[in-house]
Amino acid sequence: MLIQKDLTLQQKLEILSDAAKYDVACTSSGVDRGGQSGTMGNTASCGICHSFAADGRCISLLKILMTNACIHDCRYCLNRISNDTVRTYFTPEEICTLTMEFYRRNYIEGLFLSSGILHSANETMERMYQTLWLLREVYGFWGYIHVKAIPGADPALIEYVGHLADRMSINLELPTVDGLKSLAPAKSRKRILTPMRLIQKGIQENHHLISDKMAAPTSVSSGSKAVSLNDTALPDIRKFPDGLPDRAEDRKILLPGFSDRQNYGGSSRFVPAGQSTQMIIGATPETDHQILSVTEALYRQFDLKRVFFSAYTALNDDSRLPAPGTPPPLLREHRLYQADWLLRYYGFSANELLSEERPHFNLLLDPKCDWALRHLEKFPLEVGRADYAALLRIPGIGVRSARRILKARRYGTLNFDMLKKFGVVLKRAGYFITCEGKTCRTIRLDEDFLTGELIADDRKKRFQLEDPHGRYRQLSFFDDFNLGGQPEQEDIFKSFSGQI
Amino acid sequence: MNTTVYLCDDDLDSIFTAVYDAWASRKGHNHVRLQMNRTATMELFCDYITVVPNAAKAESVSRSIRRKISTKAWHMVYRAAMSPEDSRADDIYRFLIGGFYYGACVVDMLAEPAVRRLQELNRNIANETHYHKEFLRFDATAEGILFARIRPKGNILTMLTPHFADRLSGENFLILDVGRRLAAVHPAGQDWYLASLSREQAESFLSQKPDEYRDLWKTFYDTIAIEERKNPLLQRNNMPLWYREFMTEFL
Repeated sequence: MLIQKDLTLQQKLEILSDAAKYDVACTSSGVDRGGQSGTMGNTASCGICHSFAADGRCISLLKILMTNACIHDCRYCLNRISNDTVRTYFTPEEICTLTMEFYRRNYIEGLFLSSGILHSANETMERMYQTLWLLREVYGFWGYIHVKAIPGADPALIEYVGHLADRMSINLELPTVDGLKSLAPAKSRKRILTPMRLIQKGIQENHHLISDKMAAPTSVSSGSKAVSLNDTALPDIRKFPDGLPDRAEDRKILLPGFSDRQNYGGSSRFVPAGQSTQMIIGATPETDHQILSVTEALYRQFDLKRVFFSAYTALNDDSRLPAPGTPPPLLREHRLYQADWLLRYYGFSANELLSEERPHFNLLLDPKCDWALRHLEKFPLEVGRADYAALLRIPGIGVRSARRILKARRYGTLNFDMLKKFGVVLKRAGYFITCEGKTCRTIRLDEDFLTGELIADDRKKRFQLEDPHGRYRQLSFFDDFNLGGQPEQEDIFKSFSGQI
Repeated sequence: MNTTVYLCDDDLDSIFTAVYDAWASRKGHNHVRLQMNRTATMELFCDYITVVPNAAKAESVSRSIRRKISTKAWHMVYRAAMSPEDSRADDIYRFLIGGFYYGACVVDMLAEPAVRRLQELNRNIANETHYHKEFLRFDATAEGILFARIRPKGNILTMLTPHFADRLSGENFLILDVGRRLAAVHPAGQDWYLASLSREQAESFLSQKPDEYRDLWKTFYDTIAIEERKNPLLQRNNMPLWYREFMTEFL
């Protein structure tokens, strides 16, 4: 593979951000950290989006690949070795300069660093570590860093990187083992899940360690010494001849300064914003039920903060993939995200929403309405008495409005006007609740009737996702559609062939 | 009996003085009204009094709110006073009637229309502040000074600047509210302060030459979007057009 070296920074940025754009996670949430003198940056746990690209997705982090050269040939990936594209890489200094200068100007909230595999997983991870070390220790960057862990890299390396980053993620790529085998022969489920488990354990241990140390006030010395910014010597991992040292003993050598600065009882925090992962949707024939079950397992067994879904954009010409030009399944992705929310915040489980017999979401209805329609025996619910868990399951009532209802009904009776002010969407909730024994309009608890009503409500949102380019729109009386103009050659052909 | 209307200016002192005067007139809450000076449309059967800002009166109102209601309530009133709504002075007055009656618990009494209204003003100004944390853009001048322009609807500088002062403590930066010609100035490593600029000073800042990182950012911004997922409606929902006036990617 030929790597282009004489490109300008701008050309490199164009190539390497273009190659990174199919990665979904661009959140900067999960950790609150105030600014510190001598460094630049802070983080807010709510996350801050800095812009929205033309596709409407948020831009929070500087999302780039360290290099787009890769030894693997994953079929869905644009950077696979068999694709003929320009390959290049950023030097650690270039990444640091870009991050610092963009951050100063408030363009970004931090860095999202991913990479193709250069020579080997270890070498790639090592370079990423050096970049992050340089950014944190020499450039004094104190903002958000999200970094990809490379499957197959040495566990010790992943641990070192975890002490410099805020969030780490490992892509699950495809929801099932079969899908992974057919599309990414070099990757295996085991190689992906092992580092994920490692990070999970690291976070748990680190959490205990820090809370223990914070609980014992005498052990903490407040004399944190700042790292000299002139000390540009990179920690040289290669000085250990037998590979990397065992993680506990040599941490201090490899992490100079960082533990001093993040003074949590003398230890640095490990991946404070947790880990996430992502799956590609629509490249392989998995069902929504399989995807959602995997998602649920990841949340329960690996304590992930988020699972992201990425609607597959067909760009590679490959017999095992959808043909190039197939539109990405955006509505399906949207439904999966809705279901993901139901898993995380609403107490639903994957098997309640879907089953072997009904493996796909109803594209016309959101998953919660769909669930409610199949469980009409539970409705209508009296909002004055229903418990919190039951309130959350009513379509049109969210976490906030459910909490407001709980608060308000302690002091008095509720009515529909108040519910509306609390943020309840009566257009949906109105079919499923009673308030003081009354319904808000005449309803029939009949699946067909309610389906018709609810589908009409969701229509606008659905239409926007199915037709984002606005090809179809409402005719307006005052628009000039050039109907009175002369027919063109093309129109004459069309009228011949019966198209008009 | 005629309604008495107290006309006040935009600033906090003036609004608080108006509250003081209206309260001290002892005409009864239903017979007084507060209005912003510039929006006043004259009505029949009203007496108009233009309020002369008085620091002592304003301070006494401010102190009473903190002592007799709570610091939280004072912050709410402050944020409401910064909002762009024309009714804000009267909204504050109505809130304070409840506040001085019920005490600290008034901030949670959402069933009261006056409290709900003040919460609404608060939420709006908090949202606008957050949007500006996201969409504000600095340009670096040749001397390394960071300079940002915004045109917010509410007077959000005092709520916005602490965020940047914490984040960029080692930078010299200046945020200019173009509409109000008000600037927040932050010298490196020191506390920030507000400065009112003359028209010439403001214009001298407006004619800066572009920053070298502008093109790099535009390159990134353009390439990061996925063509197949293009969705301008969603983009406008998330980032309304009026915020884009000074954003680097749209310059």
